[in-house]
Amino acid sequence: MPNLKPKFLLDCAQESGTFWNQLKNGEKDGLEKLYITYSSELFRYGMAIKPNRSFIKDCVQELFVDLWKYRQTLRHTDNVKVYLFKSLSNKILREVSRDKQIYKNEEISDFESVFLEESAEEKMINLQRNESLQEKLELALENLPLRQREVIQLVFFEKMHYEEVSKILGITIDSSYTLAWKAVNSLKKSILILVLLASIF
Amino acid sequence: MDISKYSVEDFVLDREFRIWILSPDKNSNIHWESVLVEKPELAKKALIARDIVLNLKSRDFDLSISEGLILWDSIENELGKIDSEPVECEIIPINSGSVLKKSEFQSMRFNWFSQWFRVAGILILAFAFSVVFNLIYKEEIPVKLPPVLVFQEHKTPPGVKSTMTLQDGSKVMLNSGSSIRYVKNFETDQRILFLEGEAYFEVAKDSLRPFSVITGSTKTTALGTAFNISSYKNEDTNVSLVEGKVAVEVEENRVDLEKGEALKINRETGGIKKGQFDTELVLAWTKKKIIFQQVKMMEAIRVLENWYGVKFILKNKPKPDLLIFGVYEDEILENVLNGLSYTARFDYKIDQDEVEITFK
Repeated sequence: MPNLKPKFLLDCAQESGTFWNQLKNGEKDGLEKLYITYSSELFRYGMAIKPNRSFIKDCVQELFVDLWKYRQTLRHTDNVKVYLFKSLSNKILREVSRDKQIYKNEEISDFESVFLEESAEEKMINLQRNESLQEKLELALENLPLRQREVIQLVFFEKMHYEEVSKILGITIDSSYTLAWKAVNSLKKSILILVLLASIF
Repeated sequence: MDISKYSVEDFVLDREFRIWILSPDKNSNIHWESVLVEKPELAKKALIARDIVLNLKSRDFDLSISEGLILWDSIENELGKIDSEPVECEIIPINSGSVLKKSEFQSMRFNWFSQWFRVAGILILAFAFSVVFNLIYKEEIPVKLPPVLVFQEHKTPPGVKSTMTLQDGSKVMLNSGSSIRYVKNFETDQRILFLEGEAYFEVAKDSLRPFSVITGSTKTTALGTAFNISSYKNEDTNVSLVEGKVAVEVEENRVDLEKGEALKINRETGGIKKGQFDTELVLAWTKKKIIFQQVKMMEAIRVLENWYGVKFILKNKPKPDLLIFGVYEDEILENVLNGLSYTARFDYKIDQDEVEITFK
């Protein structure tokens, strides 16, 4: 049954190619329609990579401003969504690594993440019995490396095919699968004890 | 990949498997049952994979509509800055030092006819410079057109609504299947918009430039107010004033509206009728609400066709006295039809963007 929800500009997914061309021709309307169509998806995706609302809003804003700024040199694309997701992903990764360089706190943040992981693991052992699978998975997901979190978001929640995922991440299809496999592997480990316990009793 | 070699991870990453777990149907049930019956050693792995698929939830990071609008406003702000930046001209750096050094060096070597060399050099340089400059100059400077009235148009197809902020700060919410047209950046002494369909306006105060909306032969003028105009083709025009004051001109007549008053202009006779209106009812569409209050079936169908961007096909005629009631907030079409089908007594079938209605 088709979902005919009157969400703002539902039909736009198919029409995004038209909007793209409008944008290339310098029509602000095209940009606005792209924004209306994709802004909430992009925001959700960005938040999955780095959960910081104002930071992601800034990145989304910059992305659309750049689209306008460089509209004349935009290439033709047959998949606007993939293009936008890839651009946002690049922007976030670049900003994150720039922050690291500015504050020269790579070691500190590494230390922090090790520390956090340990404490998270401690928490897991402590709460092992009464914590639900869902909470465990959520915690494990939060503790995944950035790229693995990204691939999970794309494959599971954006329900993309590996072909699109590989374009967004800028790696081969095989590598995307491997990356996703590693991510799922970590998730599996986080719940394995619980599942095994459940199967014994 | 061969399913018999599947690990837990492979199950989780198998799209078909996930679809089966999350929304099983007859076919997928048969398929996966047969797989697991054939290879019982896989069952344990599939069970763990099932736990992961079922319990992995993405946290909801939704951008609320108002956040989205605010963000768009600031994007538009940035865009304005880009557009108003002066066009950059290419600057050709001329390093006088290097030119001097070069001629000094060369004049030492070609000392005997240095005068001639200098003249020739300058000529060549000037020529080369002009050629290069011409080439670059032509490409970089856009042709400046004399200021003409450029019309801007916003259109929404059926099933689509859109909100925009005009250059003067006024907000316009455009209902489905509508369009507005106005002079880009407005003129210096007036703000005129042409509307077809339905829109809600929140006019930014500007006492020097009255804000007028023209729909057919009706002109609605305001200074700083909020009002709704509905003027779809083949329907009466309705102007409803939510706040402030507006003057409505219908051909030669002029009617002033006070807050809470509405004006109905008959499409055929041009006759006008002033009355009160129900704000909730008139502005329902701006809140993604459909309200039917004693509405004829055909009008309800027009609203639904426009709202969801679908076409209705009636297999037989409804009773002429059939009136529709109902309130639907942000619902999918199927739910709306489901609700209506009980009271209005019809069967419906949705096929892509076509809805077939059979009255009982």
